[in-house]
Amino acid sequence: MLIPMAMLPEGKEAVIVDVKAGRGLTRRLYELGFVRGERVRVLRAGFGPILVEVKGSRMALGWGVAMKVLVADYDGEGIPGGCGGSRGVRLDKGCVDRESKRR
Amino acid sequence: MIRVALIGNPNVGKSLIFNNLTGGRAHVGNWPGKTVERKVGRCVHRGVEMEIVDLPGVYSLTARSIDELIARNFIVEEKPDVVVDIVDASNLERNLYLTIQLLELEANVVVALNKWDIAGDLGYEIDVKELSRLLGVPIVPTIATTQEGMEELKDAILRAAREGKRARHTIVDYGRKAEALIGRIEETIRRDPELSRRYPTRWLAIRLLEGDEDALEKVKTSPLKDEILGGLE
Repeated sequence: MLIPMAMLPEGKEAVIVDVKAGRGLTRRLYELGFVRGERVRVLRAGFGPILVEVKGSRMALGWGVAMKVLVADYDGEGIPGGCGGSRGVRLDKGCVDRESKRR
Repeated sequence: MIRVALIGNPNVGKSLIFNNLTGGRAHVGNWPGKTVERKVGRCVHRGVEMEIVDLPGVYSLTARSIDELIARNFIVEEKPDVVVDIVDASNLERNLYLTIQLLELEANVVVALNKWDIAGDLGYEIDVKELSRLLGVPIVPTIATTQEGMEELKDAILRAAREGKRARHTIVDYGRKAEALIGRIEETIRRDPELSRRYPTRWLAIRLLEGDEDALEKVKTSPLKDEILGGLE
């Protein structure tokens, strides 16, 4: 089941399945490491900004921004609904095409 | 005197390396008009004087935040002789993103692979030679906390400054369609001597395609502006 990252309980690990944001924010999140297929863990949750661990760094994200990152339970397997078959950051072809279509 | 810029992600030990290189003596001020600290220090190595500027810690060079804009403009406009990219060896994947952006900027990069000890503790085995070959830049493993690798880093800086800019090689291939577009825009940019003198043409073409506002601003004054922007359609 997909839920926004902002809804994850503390300590929960999940996988990013999609980022539903405009081009600028999508790009920014991508630079900070929030890319499809990446694992995240919520260190501090609640209303207001949340603290997430991604790619070995801790990032504070505004609640609204965290709502735009859709995640799924991490089961150690592939990514449900994601265009990458396995965990990793590689930008799969499907993802790139999607990005370029948005331009 | 060699002008050196230090850059890296937040929390990679950048300040520690700055202090190691300069002996902790720094002139601290602000970047003009910005409340972002600007630290400048000096160091003499093998009789050569170096001026070392500490750039803000950034994850990328997109010019979206003030830190990124300062770091990027310093590299693009001031063209330091050497840019030392401090990379957290225990978190290569995240850190190399900035490295790639620096290489696209055609900076004269030396990579300091810091936290080498932590990477080792984590069981990472990094093939420094191969990484150096792939990126086309010298790489020096360092441990800032114990000052290990500092002499080697200074030597690498001197060598890089002496050799000057390496021949550029394409690090990221954006695929056939995008590359054709990049090539066309770059061709137009090259016909403007002012633009091509000031900015790496491939880098500018890529940023323009991304819709980067700072890059769009840069071509505004070009006599070929319409043709360049037309190429983006």
